[in-house]
Amino acid sequence: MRRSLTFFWRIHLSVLLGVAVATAVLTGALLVGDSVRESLRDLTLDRLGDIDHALVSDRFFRTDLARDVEAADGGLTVVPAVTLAGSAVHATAGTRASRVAILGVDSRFAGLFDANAPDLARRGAATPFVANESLRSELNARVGDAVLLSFELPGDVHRESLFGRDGISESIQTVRVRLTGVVHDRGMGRFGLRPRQRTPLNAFVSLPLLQETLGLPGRVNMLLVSQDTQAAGDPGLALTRAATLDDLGLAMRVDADYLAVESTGFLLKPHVANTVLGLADELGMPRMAILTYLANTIRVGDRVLPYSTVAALDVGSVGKLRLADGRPGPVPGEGEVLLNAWAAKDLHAGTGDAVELAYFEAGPALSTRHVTLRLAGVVAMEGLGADSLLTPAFPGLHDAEDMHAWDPPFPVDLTRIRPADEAYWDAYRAAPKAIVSSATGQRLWRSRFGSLTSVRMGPAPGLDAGQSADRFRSGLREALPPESAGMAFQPVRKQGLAASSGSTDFGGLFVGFSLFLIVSAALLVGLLFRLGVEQRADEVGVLMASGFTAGAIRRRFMGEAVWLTGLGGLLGLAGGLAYGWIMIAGLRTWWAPAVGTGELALHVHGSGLAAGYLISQVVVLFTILTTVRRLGRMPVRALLSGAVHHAAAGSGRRLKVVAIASLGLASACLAGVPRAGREAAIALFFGCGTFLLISGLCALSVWFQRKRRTAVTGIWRMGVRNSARNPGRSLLCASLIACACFVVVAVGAHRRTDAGRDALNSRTSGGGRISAHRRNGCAALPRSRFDGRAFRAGVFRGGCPDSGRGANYAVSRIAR
Amino acid sequence: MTLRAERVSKQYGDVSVLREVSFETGRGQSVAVVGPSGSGKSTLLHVLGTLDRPSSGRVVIDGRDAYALSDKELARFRNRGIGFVFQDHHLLPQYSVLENVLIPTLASGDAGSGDGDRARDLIERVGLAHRADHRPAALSGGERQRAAVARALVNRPALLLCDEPTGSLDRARADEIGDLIFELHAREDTILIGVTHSPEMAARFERTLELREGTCVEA
Repeated sequence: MRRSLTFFWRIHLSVLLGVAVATAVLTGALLVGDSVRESLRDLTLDRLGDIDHALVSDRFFRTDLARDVEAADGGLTVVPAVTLAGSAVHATAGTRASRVAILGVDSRFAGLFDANAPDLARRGAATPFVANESLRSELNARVGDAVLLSFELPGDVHRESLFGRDGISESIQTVRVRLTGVVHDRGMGRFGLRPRQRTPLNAFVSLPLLQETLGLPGRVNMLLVSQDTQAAGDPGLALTRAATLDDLGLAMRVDADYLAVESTGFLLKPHVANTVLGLADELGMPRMAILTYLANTIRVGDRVLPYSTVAALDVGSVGKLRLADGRPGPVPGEGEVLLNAWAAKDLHAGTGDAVELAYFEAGPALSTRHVTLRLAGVVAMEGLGADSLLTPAFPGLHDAEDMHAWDPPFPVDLTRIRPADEAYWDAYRAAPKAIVSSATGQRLWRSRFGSLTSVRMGPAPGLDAGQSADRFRSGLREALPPESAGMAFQPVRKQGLAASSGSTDFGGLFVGFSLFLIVSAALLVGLLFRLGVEQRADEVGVLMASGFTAGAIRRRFMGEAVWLTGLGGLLGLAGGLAYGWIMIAGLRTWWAPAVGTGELALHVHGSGLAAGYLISQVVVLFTILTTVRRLGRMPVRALLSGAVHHAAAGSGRRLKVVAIASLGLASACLAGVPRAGREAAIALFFGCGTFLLISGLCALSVWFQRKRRTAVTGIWRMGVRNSARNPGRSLLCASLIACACFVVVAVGAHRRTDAGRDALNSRTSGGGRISAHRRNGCAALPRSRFDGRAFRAGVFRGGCPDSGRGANYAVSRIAR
Repeated sequence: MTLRAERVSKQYGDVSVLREVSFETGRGQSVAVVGPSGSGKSTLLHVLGTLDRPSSGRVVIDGRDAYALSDKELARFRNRGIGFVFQDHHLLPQYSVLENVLIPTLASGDAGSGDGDRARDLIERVGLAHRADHRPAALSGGERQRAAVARALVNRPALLLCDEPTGSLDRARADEIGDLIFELHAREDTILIGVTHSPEMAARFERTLELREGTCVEA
């Protein structure tokens, strides 16, 4: 065998190289898939450090909750932090970075990444901050530079509700900070909970300083959990045990006669209100549901009161209501209102008068509504008639020294406020001046954000207020798990790893794109081996004449093939490594937009190499076996004479059926593309191509089989006749060329040109030219992103010059 | 050993090459097959040599229908009982003369040292002892054909089939090869069936069968 291998070395070398190409392409494609998957996994693990679970709430809660969760489960390390979405602007250069993650952290945060804590201690007036390299680069800032960090102030009130409109929760606060350090875009610098490949822009600020800036000392909105041991329990259970009503956004006030439950978000969410009312009923506690709203105007005749609160409640055994003349206060009916004595006096109102209320109605657009009610009585300035606690505390109102100092989120005309109103504010603060029935209040002011501002409850039977409060608190904690308040730990590590492996299957994609290349290489190998064997057809004839069985001859040639494919495969493994390296280099640079990150590395696993090697061996050996088997069926006289022309496979009728069926399947694939998802469309594309190829080859084979009786009168007919003489070989050649054409067309068809409106060009300060395309809504390149800096092809984020928003840019060409 | 062709016919598509050819021969006999080109001489030789299945009729060797054997048995029978000498030597170019001569001994998978001795003996008898380790490319046409004769006889076949063994040689070389074949035929006591265009060569055979348009006539 060795003698044969070396004697026919030219053809065998060709076969060996063909096998090497097939192995290289297949192994390389698998390596690329493995590498992309592993790289994305590495990025996930890098950005999360030791973090397994994370809780990010839209509401702030106690910093000490972290400690309490740890206490509830000794296997957990819980790190509190503040996270805000914002932007950064270089104070002097004006360079801007949007979608900046402003992170209030302490040394415990760095511990999650086994990193040294960033130096965030205040020195001098400016608040220090540490940026990751991407943010520093985006701002083109240096240590010591001043930067303006802007962020949305957090708030508990939904922005579409009356008390959330246009105000505190939406307002932007800007703080001046000084860059005191830069961390690499690795580990802590890459921290981010969202599974995305791009490096986030992180600004680290001291946790206490950020809390102070926010006016939320001792409050955080993020908990990061590292499970220290495998024995660690469910952090969700620990959270349930540790969370207080305060953490859930609820406040419980205990008075001598009653206890009240309020929300830090002004309105009790419907499910919370229902739970509170239900629990009160369950414990036998008398209760009073309260909805306090703001009336812009209370009018009686031509006299008006500006900006007064109105309480909607059903007076029962909780709270006292007495008329000004000493009689027990009546329960206002539907369409009735009670005024307190101060308001009635100011409005010169008497029982039976028409009282008009004007108030804002929250919604997509703020509008003023009016309602006219009948005055059912005037209540004394005591008890519920002058109870400022009926109005929940709200930033901007309840803590204002006087009414002129109000800073509400809705429009107010402070010029309407009279000295008398200020006097009322000084005496009774936000105590409602009017009381309506609960039914009337619900009809007028309930919204999807809630229908109650608080619930007051009397003591449970046999218990005093304190005991009742304890029982109620404990019951409410059980009835309201943290999840109900939007507080739940997310398994971010698990999710991140799933996202990194569950996104585009690059291995499959590359194998798909390489499939035709692999098939081509296999066909080429088969063709070359066939040529080699055909050269030795007389050898086969002699061997058969000498008594070798067809099987023995096949084994003899397959033995040679195994050696060739084995060696070629080994050579192909080296080629596969090179192919994979080149592909990864391409994905890191030219095709970076496809994977969204330039941080890919070649990951080589024995399993990937073995799979590529074995699959290519099987494919190639199968192809060769097919060739050899056909040769073994040839008559000896044909073999000895060298007339070993293979007929095209199959009968004409069968080939026609296959051709038509394949054409039908190709059409079906094509028809399915518009309705298919992205990955399914790719599979259908390849399926369509494959079926078209099969159909075309079958048709060609049928054409070869046609009997040609016309004389050869020219080069064209001579060529046709020659092609039909050895249809098997001709079909192989046609397949080879078809596969190559398919690869070229497929790659060309899938190429994103980003021509036209998305194509952007810019010049650098150094005179270079950058060709790039935007990836979302921006019509120009951020010059500051490139000016005066070293850069390279890839994906960048930058502030869009025309909108100021963050935009992604894919730089495809750089000319210096 | 006896060889009997019984109404052997062979068709290739619409073309009838052999038409009910019948004859019989036995050990030690030599039969020449003559006829014009395209008369079916080589086809008859291949059918007799179990290389080409007849369209009809039987080839009976030692009382057994050769084509009733399985492919494996047929290959074994061919290996043990039949030696071929083709017009073109068909030596395998990658092997030496000795290795080429030994090829038939490898088919059975049980080649022994005796086969080597036999091969060397045959090579010596065909006058190629000094060329035993040379490859075919280094041999002359006559030498290659002599090596082919040695290869045909290495397994001591009872039937030696020669398809124009001297057709591509000049007169002197043809005589030389003819002498060799007949000498070895006599010494090995084989049935010798030879296809030839040469009347001189045909005259050396004991019997002559003439094929005309596929039919066989004893000359």
